[in-house]
Amino acid sequence: MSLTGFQSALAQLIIDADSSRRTRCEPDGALDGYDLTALERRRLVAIAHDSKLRVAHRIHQFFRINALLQSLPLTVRLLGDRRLRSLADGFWRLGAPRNYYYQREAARFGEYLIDLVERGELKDPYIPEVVRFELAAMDLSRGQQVKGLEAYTESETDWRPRLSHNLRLVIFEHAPGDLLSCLERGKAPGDIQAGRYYLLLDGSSPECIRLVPLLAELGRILQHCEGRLSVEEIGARARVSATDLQSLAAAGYLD
Amino acid sequence: MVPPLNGPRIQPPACDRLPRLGVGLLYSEALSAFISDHRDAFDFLEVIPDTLWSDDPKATAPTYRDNLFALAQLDAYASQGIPIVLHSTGLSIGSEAAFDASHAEHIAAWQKRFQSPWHSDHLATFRVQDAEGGEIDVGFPMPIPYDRAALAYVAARVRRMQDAIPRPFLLENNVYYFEIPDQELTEPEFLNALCAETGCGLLLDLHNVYTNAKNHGFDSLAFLEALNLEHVVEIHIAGGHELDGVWLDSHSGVCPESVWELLAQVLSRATNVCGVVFEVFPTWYAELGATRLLGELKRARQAWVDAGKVVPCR
Repeated sequence: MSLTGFQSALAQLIIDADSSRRTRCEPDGALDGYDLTALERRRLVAIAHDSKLRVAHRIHQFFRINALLQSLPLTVRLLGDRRLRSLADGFWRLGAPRNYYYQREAARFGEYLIDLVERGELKDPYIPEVVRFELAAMDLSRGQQVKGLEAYTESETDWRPRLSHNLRLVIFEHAPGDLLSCLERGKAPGDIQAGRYYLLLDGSSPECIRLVPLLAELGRILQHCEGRLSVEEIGARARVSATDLQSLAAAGYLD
Repeated sequence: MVPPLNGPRIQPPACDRLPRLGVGLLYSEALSAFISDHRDAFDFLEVIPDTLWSDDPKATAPTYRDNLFALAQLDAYASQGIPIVLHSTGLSIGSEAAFDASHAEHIAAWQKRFQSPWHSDHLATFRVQDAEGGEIDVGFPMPIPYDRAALAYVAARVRRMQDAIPRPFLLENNVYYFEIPDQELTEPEFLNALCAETGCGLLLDLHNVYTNAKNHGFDSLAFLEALNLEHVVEIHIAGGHELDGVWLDSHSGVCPESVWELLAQVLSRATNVCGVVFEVFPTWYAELGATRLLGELKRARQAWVDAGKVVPCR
C-alpha cells in the first residue's frame, strides 16, 4: 500500500473541485502524479463520482473562511461578504492551506490584501492599517516572545533598541479610535479623519490587550525601534539622544 | 473476525481507576460568560488545546505559542476545582507520511499543567504531503481506510502517544461524508481491533454515528451492537443541520432525538464511561443561546443519572 500518495490525492479531491472533475472525466491523467495501487486508484475514482464529495469541499472552504473570521474579524467586516468571498477565492487559488494553526493562514491572507492595496488592485484606504492592527493583536495574544538572548549578550555600545516584547506599534493613516469602533459596531466606516496616528498595543496584562494612543513625537521615535538600527541611527532619524532612548527603556517601552 | 496485529496485546486503559466526571461542556472563549453564570450546569470542561496555541515558524524551541489569555482563564477554572479534559484536533494520527512528535510534546505539557485525567484526538487525517514534499492541511477530517495496513500504522502512532503522555489516550470515531469503497474491515471492527491491540480508549461521538448512519443508510443501533462498548471512556453529543440533503456534524444546535436515544442505550451498557460532553461551536453559540444550552446539559445529566452513573461531588 502507498497510503501517502492516496492521502495526498484524496486531499486534492476535497480541496479542489476541478481536481475531482478531472478525476471523474480523465482519471489516468488526473492521478498520474501519485504513487497509487490499483485499489487506491479505484477508490479515488469512486470518491470523485460520489455526490457527497461536494459537501466535503464546502466544509473545507468553511474551515478556511472560518479561520479568517476568527483571526481577522474587523478586516472581514471591512471587506463585507461579497468582497471577502471574491478575495478569498483569489487567495486560495494561490495555494492550498499549509498549516492547521490558522493564524498563519490569516497572516498570509492579511499580507495578500496589503499587497493588493499596494499594487493598486484593491482600493480601500483602511485595509492596510486594520490588517496590521489585527495581526499585531493576534501576535500579542498568542504568547509574547521571551526577551531574546541577544538582548542580554549585547554590550551597551551594540544596543539596537527594540520595542518591548509586550508591545506592538501600529501606524494609522486615519483616526484609529473612530475607525476601529465603527468596525466593532459592524458599521462601514465613512469618512474617517485622515492623519498620522500611532497606536500602541500593550499585552502586558494577562486579561486583555490595552490600546494606547501615542503622542506623535513618541510614535516617531518608537517606529524606528525594531532591533535593527543602532542608537546613533535612530538618533539621526528621530532626532533623539541616547539618554532619551535609555529613559524609554527604563519606562518599559524598549527591551 | 479480525486477526490480531503483531505485537503484544495490551489491556484496555485502567478505566475503572479513572474519575467519573459526569457531564462536560466544550470550552470556547465565546462561552466564558455562560461558564461563569452557570457553574452548576456542568461537571467539567473539555478543551481543544491546539485551538489555543499556534506554531511560530521562526521559533526553534519551543515551537508553539500559547494563547496566554485563554490559558489564564483555564488556570482560573482549574483553581476553582473544575476538571479540565484535553481533546485535541491537530495530531492527524492518520497521516501516513509523518508523526508530529512536537505536537505530542506540547499536549504533554498541557496535560501536566491541567492534570487532564485522559486525553483524546480524532481518528482521521487532516495533514498530507503535497507533490513537492511540503505539507497541506485540509482542515477536514479525511477518513482512514479501514484496512489492516492502516490499522498497523495507526496502532504504532497510538503507542507513541501512550509513550509520550502517561495518561489514557482515546481516539474519536470519525464523521465521514463520502465512503471509501472496498475496505477490509467495518468501522466497528477497525475500532475494536485498534483498542484491543493498543489499549487506547474510545471517545464515542454519538452525533458522528448518527450523521454517518443518516448519510450512508445504516442502522446506528446495529453499529453500536458491533462495537465493544467496554472501550468507551467518553461520549460526545451535539447537534447538526442539513446541507444539500446531507446531514452535517456542525455542532450547531440541540441534539436530535435519535442521539438522546443512542446515549441512553450506550450509557446503560458501557460500564467504563467517565464523561458525556455536549459540543457547540463558538460560531453557533449565539444562535443556540444560554437557555437551550442549559436544557441540553440538564438532559445529559438526567441521562447520566437514569443510567445509574455516579453523580460527581462538587
